[in-house]
This record gives sequence, structure tokens and C-alpha cells, in this order.
Amino acid sequence: MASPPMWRKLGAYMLNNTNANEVIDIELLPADGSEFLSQYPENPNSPFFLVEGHLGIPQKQLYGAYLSALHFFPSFRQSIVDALDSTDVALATSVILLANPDHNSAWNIRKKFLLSGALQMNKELEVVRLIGTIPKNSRASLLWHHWRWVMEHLFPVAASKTLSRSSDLEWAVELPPDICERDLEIVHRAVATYPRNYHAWAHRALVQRHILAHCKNDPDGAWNSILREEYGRMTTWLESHVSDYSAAQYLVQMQWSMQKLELPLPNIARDPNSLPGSGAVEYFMALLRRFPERETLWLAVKGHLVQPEQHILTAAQTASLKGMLLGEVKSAGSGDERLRAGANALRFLFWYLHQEDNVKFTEESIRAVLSSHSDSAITRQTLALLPLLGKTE
Amino acid sequence: MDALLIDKHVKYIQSLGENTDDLMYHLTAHLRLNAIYWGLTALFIMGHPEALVKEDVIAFVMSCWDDDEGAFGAHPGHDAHVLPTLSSIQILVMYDEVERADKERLVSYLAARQNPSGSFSGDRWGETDTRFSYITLQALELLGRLDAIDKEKAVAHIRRCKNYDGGFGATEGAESHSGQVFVCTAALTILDRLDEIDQPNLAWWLAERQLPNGGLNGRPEKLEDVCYSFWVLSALSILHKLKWIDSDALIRFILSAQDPDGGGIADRPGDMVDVFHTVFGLCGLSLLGHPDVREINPIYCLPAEIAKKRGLHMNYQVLGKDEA
Repeated sequence: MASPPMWRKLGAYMLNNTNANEVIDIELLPADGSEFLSQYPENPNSPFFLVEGHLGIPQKQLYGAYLSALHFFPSFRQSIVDALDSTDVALATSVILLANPDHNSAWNIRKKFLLSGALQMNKELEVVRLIGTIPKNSRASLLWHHWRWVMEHLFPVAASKTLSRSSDLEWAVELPPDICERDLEIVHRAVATYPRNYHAWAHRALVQRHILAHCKNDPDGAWNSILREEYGRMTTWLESHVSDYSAAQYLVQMQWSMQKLELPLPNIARDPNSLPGSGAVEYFMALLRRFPERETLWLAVKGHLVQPEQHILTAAQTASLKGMLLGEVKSAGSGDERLRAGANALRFLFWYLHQEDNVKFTEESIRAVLSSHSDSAITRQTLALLPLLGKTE
Repeated sequence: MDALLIDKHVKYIQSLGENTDDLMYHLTAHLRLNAIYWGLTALFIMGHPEALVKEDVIAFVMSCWDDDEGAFGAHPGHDAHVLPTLSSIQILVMYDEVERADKERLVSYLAARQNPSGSFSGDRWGETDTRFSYITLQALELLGRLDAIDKEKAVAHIRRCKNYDGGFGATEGAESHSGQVFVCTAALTILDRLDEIDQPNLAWWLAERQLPNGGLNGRPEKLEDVCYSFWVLSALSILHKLKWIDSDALIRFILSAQDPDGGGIADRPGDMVDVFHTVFGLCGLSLLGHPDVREINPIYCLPAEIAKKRGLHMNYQVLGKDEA
């Protein structure tokens, strides 16, 4: 008797339809998983592995299941899909998306099923979450969109409410604080396992906007509490991942939004004599002093300086910044790290001095500053910036 | 490697789609029409448009028509989406066969993608991304129907996706990314609204994408990748700031990512090639004035002579070309 196609078996695990333990996350195992199979001869879940909620799938099995799940669909047209068994459609699409979360037609079928009731919205979030536990899957923009689409149905905006803010128009939801917190945790896991994950960070920014919108009118303080926790999570993350520019720019945006709303920045002592915003800049400058070779940190400081509220540096900070810059430029030497540090500092220096002092640089003066560099790549690249430095076009 | 291996790349593109049993083939089915557009564009600017059989290509394009929605999917039986819809129109434009498509239904589908906020969705299910703004605007311009959408709102949405560094993200608050910078810059060009660009900050940001090895990255602190030779370069070309990067170093980088045996170009030297990096590497070389590549119009990523014939926007810079 033929065993059921692999995709039916795998789909059943994903939709938790078996007697097995609940699946918490999914991991892809190399090749056909034979080394694991030999370790667990009595494995009841063969050819998969289910240990304490962690489902292990050998790559060969996943892609084999993917191909046969695809073959189940002669086409993705509604009329064709309607003629197929709906349970099978649910199983097959979940497997297709586990292997290929960019498959838009498969996501679309699930949306149609969710609208008709053949699939349930609240269970769907769990399926999406599971698919996203494979790191490379969490980069798929359609995965995050499907998540938000389902959330729009689970947490709709009251019919009486007029949506005027552009961000509300983009994602029409009314989320309670604990759901926002849950989303932030899911995003955090995604960016931790797949660094610089673009769409995870983009989703995080949408959630952050939602939280901020509630922070001024927050009687029990629940929203501000979540905001402070997220702020702490970001600074902790950044301090151990100082090249993560996605995190840095997210934090910079968060700092401004909080300043605009006059919300205090946690862990930054507010000096009543200093200009608003200088605390946020000082946060990054302190990191920069420890890691001057990190482009991310230079860009974050620059990010604060381009703010419409321009003069947010104290005289002491300005002096410190200039000192650091010139010191960095002069001490830069050969070796990749120092080279990069020098390049970053130079670019920042030229941009900054040009903005602030309207200093005009000539090729001669630049070569003089660069005379300490033995590497011509930096000289060439810096000279390529000359058109800006000497002119205003 | 300092030669551009045109003949090898032509043969590489011709060989694509031969292995229909490949896992890779099925993992990329949702991009098939886009891939054909990438291959055809590469052939055109290499001077070999005849290397694919025109009627075979057009037959495949038409087989991707989704009659339920009145637009094109990426593969027969796949759902309509603006991405393959633009690719189809671009292919038909290159072959001068746009009348084969149902223009009315296409305009209707494309116009329906604009949302109340001014953003654009990829399909009826709603995912928004500034990429889709650009794609829909270009598709409508190619069909001569830019009037079908609200231009002011389209600009307003792009403006909201502009970040403090002058760059653009996919959605409001999303990180600046070279791909998104390209689509927003090109979209604003189509809408004649380059005044919205934060200059010179954006040019600075773009110039900072160049790494010591000459390659360009897509975001700060990321690795170089040949495809950014197009995304970054096109934006710089539109802004007339191509001289802000070291062109010799970039040319050397792109050429070193070629596969001298099988043809094609990879994301970086030593990696596996694909048609995506092949076309964008070639487009980068075109903008940098490489003598063996025909001119690409970076605003549309279409051959310049075709764009010119159709009266499209032609204001951009190519290194070495006589400045007006």
C-alpha cells in the first residue's frame, strides 16, 4: 500500500493535525537526514524528527515534498482550486510556503480560504509563525504581509473610526498592547536569527508607530511600559551588535519620535541645561568613542545631526566630535579595520565641516590630510567626493 | 579578467529554461516572466536581440495572462501581479508588439492598485511597497495612461517613505535600501518630481555604497553585490552624479564576477551566476560607458534607443557620453 505523499504528512505536522507533540519551531537538516536517522532508529516521526517541539526536516524531504505539492495544483486559478479537496489544498499550500515563502499564488489561495472560512484566522497566525522559524523564510516580504493581513481581520478598526493617518491606511488594525508586545518579540527573534532582516525591521517600524500613537493618551501606562521595554531591548541589542545599521537607524527614528512626543528617553539623564536631542546624540557618541571603526555609529550620529532642529550639539560635544574626527583621520593606517575607520571618519569630517563651517577643500588640502594614508584606495575614493566639497551643486 | 565575455553571456541566457526538471526552476517559477525580461534586456544591450525566438517568447508571455484579473502572472496558472505585468509589457515593448495585450484591462488592473493613501499594492491582496509605485507608474507610462492614477498622492506616499539620510524605504519607517532608492528616484523622474529628492544627502548616501574592493553594497555595512551596480548607479545617473564613485574600480569588480566557462555574472566573484545579476551587471557597465555594451535607459531599465523612440524620459547621465 502506498504511503501518503510527503506533503500530506509534512502539512499535517505544520497544521498540528497529528497526535504528535505541538510543534514549536522548524529546523532544516542537511541532506537526507541519514545521520540523525541512524541516531534515532525508533523514530515514530520518520523521516522527520520531533524532539521537545522542535521539528527537524531533512532538506531532501522538504524539497521533494515541495515539488509534489506543486504538482497537486494543475493551476492556481480559482475554478481549478475549487475542484480540489480543501483539506489537501490547505496541507499542500502550507508545504509550498514552507519551502518557498515567496510563492504569491499559494499565499493567495490561503487568503481566499480564510475569507470563506475553510481556514481559520487565529490558527493561520500560528502557521505563518512556524514558517518564519526557518531563518531564511523570515526575510520574505509576503510572509510579513500575510501576517498583517490576518491581523487586520482579527483586530479590525471600529467601523465608526475614520482612518486619516497614512500609517493607519497602510495597516488598518487596532492592536492591544500585549499583541504589539508579541509582534515585537517575534520580530526580535527573526532579526536575531537572520541579521539585517529588511522586512522584519520594516514590520517592527509599523508596530512601533502603532505603540507611539497611543503613548500620549495612556491612562494606565501600559503603552509607555512597552515602549520603554522596546527601547531597552534595542539599546542592549545595539551595544552587542554595533555594526547592525538596521538596528541603529531604527533606534535613531525611535529617539526622534519620542523627542517629538516629549517622552523621556530611558536611561539617559536629562540635563536641563542641554539642548533637547543632545542626550540621544551623546548615546551614540559614547558608543563611537569605544568603536570608532564602525560605520554604523558614524552614520547614526550623522543621522541625528541632519535633523530639522539642527543645533542640538553642545559646544563641548562639538569640540569632542571634531577632536575625535581629526584624531581618527590622523591615526588611520593600513589594515582593513583602520582603513575603514579612516574612510568613515574622513567622509563624516568632510560632510560635517562643509555643512557647519562651509569650509572649501581643495585637492591639495585633501592630499595633505591624507598624507598619513599609504593606501591609494582611500585617497581615490575621497577625491571622488571632491565635486561636492568645492561646489554647491 | 578584463574582457567582457559577450558570447558566453549570450549562450548562458539561451540555455536558461532548458532544465525544467530542476528544483531551482520550480523554486523560481513565481519569477519566471521577470527572468525572461532580465534575459531579453541583457541580450538587447549586448547587441543580440535575435538570440531568443521572438514568437516563442511572446507565446510564453501570453500564456501567463490571468483572465480572472486582466493582467499577467509570472508563470502559466499563477496569479496576476504588477511585477510580471510590467515585465510582460516591457518584453512586448522591446519587440514592438504591445498591441498583443489587452490594454484596457491592463490599465484598469494597474490603476486599481493605487490605495487611498497614494501607495501602490502589488496585487488585489494589498501588499504595499514603493517598488510597486514605480512598477505601476512605469507600466502605465509605457501604455500611455499615466493619467489613470493620482500623481499628487503617489508623490505624497513616496515622500513619506523618505528617510533622514535622504534614502527611501519600502514602507514608511523602513530602512533606506539601494533598491528602494532606485525605484523611488525613477518613479519621481516619471512623475517629473525630482524636486522631492533630498540633495545632496541622497548622492552622499549612494556614493557611500562603494567598498574598498570597488563593488557597491545595498545598505551600510553590507557586502558588495553586482546588482547594486544597477540600483545605485541608476539613481546616481538620474541625479547626474556618476562621478561620485570610482568607476574604474567598479568596472573591474563587475568583470571579475563573470563566469569565464559557462557565461553569466554572479553577485560577487566566485559565486554562482544567475540571469538577475547578469543583466544588472551589464546595465552597470553600460552606465559606466563600457564600449561593448549598448546604452540602457536607467529610468526604465530598457534599451535607450527603444525608450527614445517611444518618447519616454531621457534625462540621465552615461559616463563618457558627450554632455549636452
